Amino acid sequence: MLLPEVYSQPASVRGFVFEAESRRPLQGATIVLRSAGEIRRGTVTDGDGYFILPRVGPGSYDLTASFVGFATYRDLVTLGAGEVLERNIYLPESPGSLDEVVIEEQLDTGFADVKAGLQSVAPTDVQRVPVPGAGTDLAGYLQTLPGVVSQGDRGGQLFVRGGSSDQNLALLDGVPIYQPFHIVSFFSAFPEDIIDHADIYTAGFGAAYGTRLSSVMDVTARNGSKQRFRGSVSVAPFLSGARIEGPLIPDRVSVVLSARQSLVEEVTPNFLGQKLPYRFGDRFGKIHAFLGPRQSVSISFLDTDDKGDIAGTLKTFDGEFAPDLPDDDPEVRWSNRAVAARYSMLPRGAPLLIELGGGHSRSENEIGASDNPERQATIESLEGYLKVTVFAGTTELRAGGQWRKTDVEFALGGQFQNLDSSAEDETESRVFLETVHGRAAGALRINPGLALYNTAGRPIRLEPRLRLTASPSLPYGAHTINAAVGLYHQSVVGLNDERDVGSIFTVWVPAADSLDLPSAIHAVAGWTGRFPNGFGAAAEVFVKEFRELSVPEFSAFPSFTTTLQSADGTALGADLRLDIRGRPFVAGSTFDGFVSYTFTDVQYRTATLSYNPSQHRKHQLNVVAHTERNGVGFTIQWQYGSGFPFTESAGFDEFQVLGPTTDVTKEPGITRVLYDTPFRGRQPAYERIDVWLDKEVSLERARVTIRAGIINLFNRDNLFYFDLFTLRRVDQMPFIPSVGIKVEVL
Amino acid sequence: MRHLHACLIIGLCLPSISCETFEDTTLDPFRGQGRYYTVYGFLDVAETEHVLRVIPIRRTPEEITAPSEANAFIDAVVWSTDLDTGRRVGWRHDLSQLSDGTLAHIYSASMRIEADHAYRIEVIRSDGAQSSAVTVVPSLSTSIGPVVDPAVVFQSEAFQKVHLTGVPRAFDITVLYEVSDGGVSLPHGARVEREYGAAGAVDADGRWSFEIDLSRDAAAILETVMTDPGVVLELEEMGVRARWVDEQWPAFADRTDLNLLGQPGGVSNVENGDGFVGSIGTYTRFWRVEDAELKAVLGFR
Repeated sequence: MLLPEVYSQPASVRGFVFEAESRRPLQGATIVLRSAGEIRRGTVTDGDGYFILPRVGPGSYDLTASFVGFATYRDLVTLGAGEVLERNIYLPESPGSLDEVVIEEQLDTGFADVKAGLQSVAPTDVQRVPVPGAGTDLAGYLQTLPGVVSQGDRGGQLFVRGGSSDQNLALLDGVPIYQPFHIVSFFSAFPEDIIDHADIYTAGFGAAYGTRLSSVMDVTARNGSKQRFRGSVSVAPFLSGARIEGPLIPDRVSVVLSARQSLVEEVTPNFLGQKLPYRFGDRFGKIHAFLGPRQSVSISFLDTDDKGDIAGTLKTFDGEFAPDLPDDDPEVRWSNRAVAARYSMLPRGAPLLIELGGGHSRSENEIGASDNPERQATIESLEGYLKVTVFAGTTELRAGGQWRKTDVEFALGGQFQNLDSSAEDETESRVFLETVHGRAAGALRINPGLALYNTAGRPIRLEPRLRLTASPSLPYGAHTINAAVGLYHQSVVGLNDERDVGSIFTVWVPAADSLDLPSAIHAVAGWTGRFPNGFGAAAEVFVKEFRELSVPEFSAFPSFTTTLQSADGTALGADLRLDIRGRPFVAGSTFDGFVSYTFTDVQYRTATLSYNPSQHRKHQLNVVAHTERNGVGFTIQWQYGSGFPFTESAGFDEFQVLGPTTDVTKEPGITRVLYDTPFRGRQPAYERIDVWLDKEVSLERARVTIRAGIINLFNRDNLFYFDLFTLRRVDQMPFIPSVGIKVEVL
Repeated sequence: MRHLHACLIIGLCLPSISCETFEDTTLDPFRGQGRYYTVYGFLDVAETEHVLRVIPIRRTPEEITAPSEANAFIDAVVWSTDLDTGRRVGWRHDLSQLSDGTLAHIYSASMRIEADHAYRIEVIRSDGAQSSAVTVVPSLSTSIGPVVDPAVVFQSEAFQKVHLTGVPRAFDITVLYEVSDGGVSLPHGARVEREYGAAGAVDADGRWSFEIDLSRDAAAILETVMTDPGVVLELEEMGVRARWVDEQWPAFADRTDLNLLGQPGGVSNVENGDGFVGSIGTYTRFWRVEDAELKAVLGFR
């Protein structure tokens, strides 16, 4: 019944937009149809460079495609009734082209554009936040986003708007990556120069996403150049790497390969006298091929490894270096290995986009000696998905299904949260339907969605989602008001020792059959404003209500042995972000920067107490300021985070199992820490200032970037971990100078 | 406009620098104050000497290996007060060697403990800070006597259920048998005690219920009590002696998972401190055995 109606629609124009030189898809390019000088239809390309302009009346139009930094494409097209015109457009680079037309539906890339928990991140956004070395990394940028909290500069875990780290879904080309960050938190598993774009949902994600309670980070890797080989090499103590890309079959098949490896473990001990015993790296590859004018296929591969002694350099209780303290903290290791495949097709003559994909992902996590680990945990998943997008009038319907089988295995060398060793599996399936770019009367857009979520042995769950967007006309600037709500479930959960924010060992397990499925309700609302002269601002408020979370009971002993209890939780907060881009500054320089502030309050409630869990960070402030002149850039970044909760101690005593026949004059007790009410104390605030100096030299076919900087300029003793039993503290990164060089062959 | 931008940057940087300069980065994990001593021990109505172990809650673990060590000194005095009579007793301090060779602070007192009375134990530091606990010695008055079910005889084996009212948990049960031989060899008769340990459980009515193996006990009695051959012993009375802990104690003792004891709500009855001070009651009651048929089955008259 649908097809005749579709064919009865007026004409449409669709196709892809690519960079002419590299043949890479261009996301965010503006496509406009004009008639008699007025815009009749407009849209922007998606992550594949795909666009469609539906419901166009028959006639002649000026078709233009534009993107900042590229020459504008113009053509005169004539459309017949019901015609579907396919047009693939190749835009050559043209640095002088800045006159991009802004379309209302333009995707949100950077510039304070946060829409109901969504921020779309382009490589140009990532480049705004330097990290040690000569490149940039998605992890560094994520930590500046409102609502994203990291443990600091080590540990590799992020908490998003009150959720715990296992409630984040990280996807690379549609396949989950279970440990997406390296042990040094400046770096993710995704180098900046393999990212095409990333959609970060900190709350209120739509029906297309599920299986996690808190957030989604959907990273799409870019395709390699299909015209010529190019690459880059970077050398820096923290992380050195190389990338090469090029055509396997010119204009049809491309490959991009990337590898990075840390050197910090070798460099810093002798140089700075402090141990940074971390070794990490990642390898990535992607092959992309056009199978025809309307079909493409890609295969991606990611392999990462991390290991390190999380304690690093120990200090005494009073903050003095303690080289004599036994360094008996075990080594932590984790790895990811993932393969993702994706096939997309535009059926001839039908306004459809069909995507078929799937992949395999495996992550291992262990602690202890490498030849005889104390604890091991593995998660492995196989999945497939099908998405169909129907362009029906002004409404885009997206429907799909997803199937995932997850196997977990763990051997814990003693009990860990009711667990010992086991192998379990869980099968999840979801189907969803949502409207995209739905449009109601006036300026209000309503995007409802619904998913059915099924896990073995449990009833099917309904997951309704709703997003609202309005663009009111106000006298100054362009404004968007948006809101989103949704219900979420998670059936495979990661268990950490939540008593201790320094704990990074995670065991993934299916949610306990005896408990209801963990769930969350999100509600988020916000405003985004763009103003003349490069200013932007965004504000959001959010609330997440969690149900049936599994949290550990609180032990008086320094072991991982503990049982679980059920908890409900509430996370609520507000964000504010101010953004300045490309403003003229003193002495002919330009200025660029942003300020983001987040207030978050997270409360967990068990049967016996209410507390702020270990990821609760009430205030977080990020300031990034960058100025540039004559190819020399200076960046200063200030991060401030109020102290994480921790459980204070009344001191040490002994515990005695007192029975009526116990002889207290003879029987010794067990030494214990006498904990106070859990998480009532607060760690000192986290604060760090980094400064960076960049120099970029452009040659005919190459670009050289040199970056020198200092991490923790004031050498502040930011606490990472405090062991209440041994009274030892571990601090975050000290003052560390860094230098790196990157050479890119263009 | 440019000056405005410069001011903006300076404005952003200055607060951070000032925070770097002045904000404290130290962490004192011992701010959870208000708890001074951990106390373990109990008062027992069956004893006249009572002991408590007192552990000062300190910033370092208490492991005293020699009397000369700093932790061997304790700034504490211990008093007990009978809250019903107001009688106050000071406890003596001693360092006692534990089975692992380390030393512990032990306080002892000589006094009689009365059932139904409440006692407050106070551990007082020289600056006045104190930890205290109140224990109520199990009441005899609430124990209205055992409810003894009719004996059950099955294939020459006899059993009898006994229900103790007002006893939340008995840990030491003895069944008492009063027998006589008519004054032939036992002019005052004989009492035979049969140990049942912690037998039994709480029944649906909240009573401590256990079962007496009458046949086994009778065989042991007939073997134990020496009288003239040909004399049949008379079973005159039976009784039960139960020792049981106060009402607070089972909640503490049931938390056998050591790792849960840091959980708020973990049981301690020590105010401004930790640990547990309990008390033990003793209950003894007799009843006449009137069932001649049962006596015959057991070999008595």
